[in-house]
Amino acid sequence: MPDTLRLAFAIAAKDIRLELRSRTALLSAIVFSALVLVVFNFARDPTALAAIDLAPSVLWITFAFGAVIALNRAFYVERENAALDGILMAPVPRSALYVGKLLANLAFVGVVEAVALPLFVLFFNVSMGHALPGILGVTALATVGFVAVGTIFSAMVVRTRFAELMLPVLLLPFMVPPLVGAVQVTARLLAGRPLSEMEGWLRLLTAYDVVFVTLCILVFPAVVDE
Amino acid sequence: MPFETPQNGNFLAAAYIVAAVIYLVYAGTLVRRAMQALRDGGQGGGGGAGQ
Amino acid sequence: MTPDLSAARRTIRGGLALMTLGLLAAAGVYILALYYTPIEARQGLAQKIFYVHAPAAWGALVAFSVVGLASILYLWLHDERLDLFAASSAEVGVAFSMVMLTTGPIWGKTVWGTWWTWDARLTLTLFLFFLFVAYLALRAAVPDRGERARFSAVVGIMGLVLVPFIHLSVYLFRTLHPQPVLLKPSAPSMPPEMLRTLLSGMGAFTLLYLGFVMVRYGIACAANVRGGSSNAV
Repeated sequence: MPDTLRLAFAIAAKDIRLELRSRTALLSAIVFSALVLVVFNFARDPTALAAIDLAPSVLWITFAFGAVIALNRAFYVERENAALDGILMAPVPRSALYVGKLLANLAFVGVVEAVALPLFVLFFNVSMGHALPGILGVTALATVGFVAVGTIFSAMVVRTRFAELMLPVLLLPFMVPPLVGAVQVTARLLAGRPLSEMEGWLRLLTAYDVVFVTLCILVFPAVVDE
Repeated sequence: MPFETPQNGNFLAAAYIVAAVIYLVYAGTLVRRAMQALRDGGQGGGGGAGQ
Repeated sequence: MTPDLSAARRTIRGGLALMTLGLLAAAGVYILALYYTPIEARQGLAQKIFYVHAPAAWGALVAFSVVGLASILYLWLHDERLDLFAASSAEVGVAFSMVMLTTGPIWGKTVWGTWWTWDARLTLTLFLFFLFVAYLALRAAVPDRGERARFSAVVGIMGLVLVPFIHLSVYLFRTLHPQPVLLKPSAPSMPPEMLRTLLSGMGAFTLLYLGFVMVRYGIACAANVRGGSSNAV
């Protein structure tokens, strides 16, 4: 068991190193997120709605789309380097491969979110202070959900036609429960509501993560093996 | 409280017609493809399958 | 003619017969709904949309469950027929969800005054629709037969697991945002004519579903026998 985990970390590390070398995916995802935030700013009427009301939705839509962009590129790294076939031929447990990919993708998406969040605070003048740890927590929770499912789908679509279109078409329905939960929790955190009001949503997010990470580990072999 | 039964027969008609159209059009596409499948002998290239 | 091809053709013919029966039964339900059932006083004639709307929702749900089940079985047994069956059910599911998603808002407009509301059933069916479409789009995008079957099965299973989460999300969401009250005849107080028509509708449209799927499956099998790996079914 620890072997599998170590293997997963090794795979993740390799992917991260590969991406750090070229950086194109990361940079495009970051720039994209920044642009989305800018567009949101101009797309709203500041007299009609207070920034704070829209804030959770804006933040999470930005995160969601940033994640899709980041995930789209994730498997291309592999494919362009024809490295995936090599790994598959080795007796690597598929769960290690999946978890490794998951960790690497979490790192990518995490970086995109880490850049988007301060930009968001800056552009929308949202004071986070007390809510920050909570927001970081719920971000991590929801992101695991997105990325778990996104990793499987990006593994699939990289071999298909219209890959860039297929990924969002497949992934967006699956992003709805984590997204809804994240927005609701974020809104309550920003409003300083007590934890009891978020319990249901947090349970939803956690259950989603547990169920889908497990499911994805189970079905991943069907995606990569003949 | 006094109320009048709303006169919404048009909505009923619209819904029933739309539903019937969807089912019949779908049935039509199936029949077309089925006829093609029944007609073509064991030749290669199933162009008919690409609806 | 290979035995497989003749079997496929038999399936198509049987399916066509079943489908015709289903269409006739559906027409019968239309007549029942229009002439036999009483008019509901508060909603008026539009309430009768229910007799077409409810079976469509049921059909979409059945179609979806079949896709999920067949997907699980496919990954377990690797029988290509399961994959073709799942794909057929998905296509039929699109038709049924389209009916549900069109009749629903039309009815909703009369009852709620608004075309759309994020009520549990409509929202869920919308998701089923998106999942069906995603499933079929994926199939169209994967040229290799084996890969297509495997990928579809994965999506089918994941979609199945997603459904309870959508349910939960909608439930949690709705307890915050009170929805307009849906006026519909609740089971206990439903007059016998309404119940009978509803049940007939369920039966007729289930028959129709089976007929559709059988024809579609037969076509898929026939194409499978004929074509090489490039047939997107």
